[in-house]
Amino acid sequence: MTTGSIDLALGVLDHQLLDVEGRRCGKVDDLELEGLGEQSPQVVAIVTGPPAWRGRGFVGRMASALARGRTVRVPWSEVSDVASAVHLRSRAAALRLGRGDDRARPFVRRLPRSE
Amino acid sequence: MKKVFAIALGILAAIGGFVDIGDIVFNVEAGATFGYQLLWAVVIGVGGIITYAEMCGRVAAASERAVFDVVRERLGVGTGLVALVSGQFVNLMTLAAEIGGIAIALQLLSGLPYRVLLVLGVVALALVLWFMPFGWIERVFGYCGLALLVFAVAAIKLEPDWGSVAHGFVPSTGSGDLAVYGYFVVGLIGAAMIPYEVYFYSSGAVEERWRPKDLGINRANVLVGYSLGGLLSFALMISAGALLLPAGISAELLGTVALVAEVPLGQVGLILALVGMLFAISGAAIDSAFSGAYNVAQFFGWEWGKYRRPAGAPRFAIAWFVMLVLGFLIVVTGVDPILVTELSVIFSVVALPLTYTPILLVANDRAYMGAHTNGRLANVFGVFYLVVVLVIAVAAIPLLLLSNMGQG
Amino acid sequence: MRRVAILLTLATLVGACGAPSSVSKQAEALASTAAEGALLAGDVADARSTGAFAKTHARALLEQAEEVRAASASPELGSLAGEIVSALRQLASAPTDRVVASEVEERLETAAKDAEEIEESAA
Repeated sequence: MTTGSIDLALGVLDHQLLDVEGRRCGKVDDLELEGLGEQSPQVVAIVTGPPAWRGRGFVGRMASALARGRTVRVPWSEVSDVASAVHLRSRAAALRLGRGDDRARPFVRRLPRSE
Repeated sequence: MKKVFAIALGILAAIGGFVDIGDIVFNVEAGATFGYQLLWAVVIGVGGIITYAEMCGRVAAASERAVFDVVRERLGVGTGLVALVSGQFVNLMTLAAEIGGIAIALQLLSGLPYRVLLVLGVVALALVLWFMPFGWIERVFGYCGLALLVFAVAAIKLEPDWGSVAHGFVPSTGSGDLAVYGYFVVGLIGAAMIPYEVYFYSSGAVEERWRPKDLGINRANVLVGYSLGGLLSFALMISAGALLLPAGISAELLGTVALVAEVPLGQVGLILALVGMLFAISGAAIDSAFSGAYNVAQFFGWEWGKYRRPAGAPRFAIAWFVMLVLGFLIVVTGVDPILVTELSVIFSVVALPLTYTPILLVANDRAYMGAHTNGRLANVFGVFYLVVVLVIAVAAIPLLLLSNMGQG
Repeated sequence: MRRVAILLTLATLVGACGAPSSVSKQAEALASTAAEGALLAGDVADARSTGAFAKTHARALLEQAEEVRAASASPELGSLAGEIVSALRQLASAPTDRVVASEVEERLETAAKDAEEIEESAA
């Protein structure tokens, strides 16, 4: 974990998620905070998936209404580093991330020379 | 030595890949309408793409991010989505225009029917993109696009008044219809700074894992590659100005462009011009289809990469394939590809501020760039071009209407 | 705002597309088509072109002239456009014939001059 404070808005939100194998598996679509209103609120989890845009402004709300699928909650304890991307400790599948690509892969694999 | 060779090859590919159907149409029409008077506008456009492509390359090397990662991080989901939708609309129109251009070029070479060639062209593109390694694709299409250098030879052979040509590099308001002149200024700058170029360049830089040590290559590629690419645009305008304007010939067909090479240079000139156009436009079709896929994948956080096999980045592969299909569907309606070309350039001009502002912001952001933020030169040019882009973005649609799409 | 602009643009374009409508604009267009056709025919006559290109481009130019003929603003323009169409059609049907091309070149050069005269007198 990088030491020092991280600007949540600019340093984490909307950043790329990378699993332990370096696989791209979504973006930080929203953050779950605890203790708002107290001295030091804490980030408890990352929320990913378009429905998470409900709290992200007017356009975000419109878009989240159109979106299908569910959000995935990634506990903050899974974060190993915050650099240009947010690095996670586990594989994407274990965290139920990157499922879109997993679902699309069988279709693509049917075609020749797709690997 | 090997590195210099590699850089030279990259630059060659960049030159051949610089020109697309928008550049061809606007440069030749400008030459046929105003002779050499708009050469300065091409210089402005080339300067703009050099400035911002260099910035994108540096952002990629310093922050390991491509443009749409940056757009979403800096502007958030709301504005980012607006940028994504408008960017995709523009990419798609550009792609449709290029696909139409491919079919026309094939028709001029083979005499086969247009619609048949539309299908053949798109199928060939899809097969090439699926089966051919991308490194080869860039090289083949880039080098073959160099055949457009025939227009430089044609320009010289047509013996223009070089004094007038030199004059054309000095900005002026031109002689003739001001609205039409303004329309071409907007179109020429817009065609040179078309968004898919920076999306594609920055994604490539991230994929090649550029790091600060590669910043020299970035600058060389951009400065030399795009400047020499700009020479091709000059050649198109000068040869059109030398041949078409005195003869009172307007340029609304791609065949007219090829004729500009045929008249001074005969059959060889014609074939080189058509082959050059075919590969330059095909290369641009590939780049714009991939830009569409990059933008979507980078916005949503999917796997992406032009060097990846499709199974490694399935949604990305589906995305560029869908782009090709949609582009095809637009032109198969029979709409005139030249019309689509002009509209795609003008609409992309309207979207340019949204494309380039985030890049300038991030390139100045120490948190992203570390020690590699914009120097004074980059910022002077960056801000200058942002102003240029804002001005032409506002003027684009009014000029389109006032000038009756350049017809006056 | 952008949607309004796009709709306006499309509306204007639907109107702007297709043939020009005034006499001088149409004459200008015919002069351009004829001059270009003459260049093409000249190249075919000198064996400096290819059959595929000459056929395809002659057809495209033919369509341009046909558009003007269908919406011609004066009978004079209409018959001139018809002459240009017929010459280009001849070229398109024999795109490698040097003798035919030579004739077509002459016809189109004359037509271009006639169009220019009409344009000048209308201006």
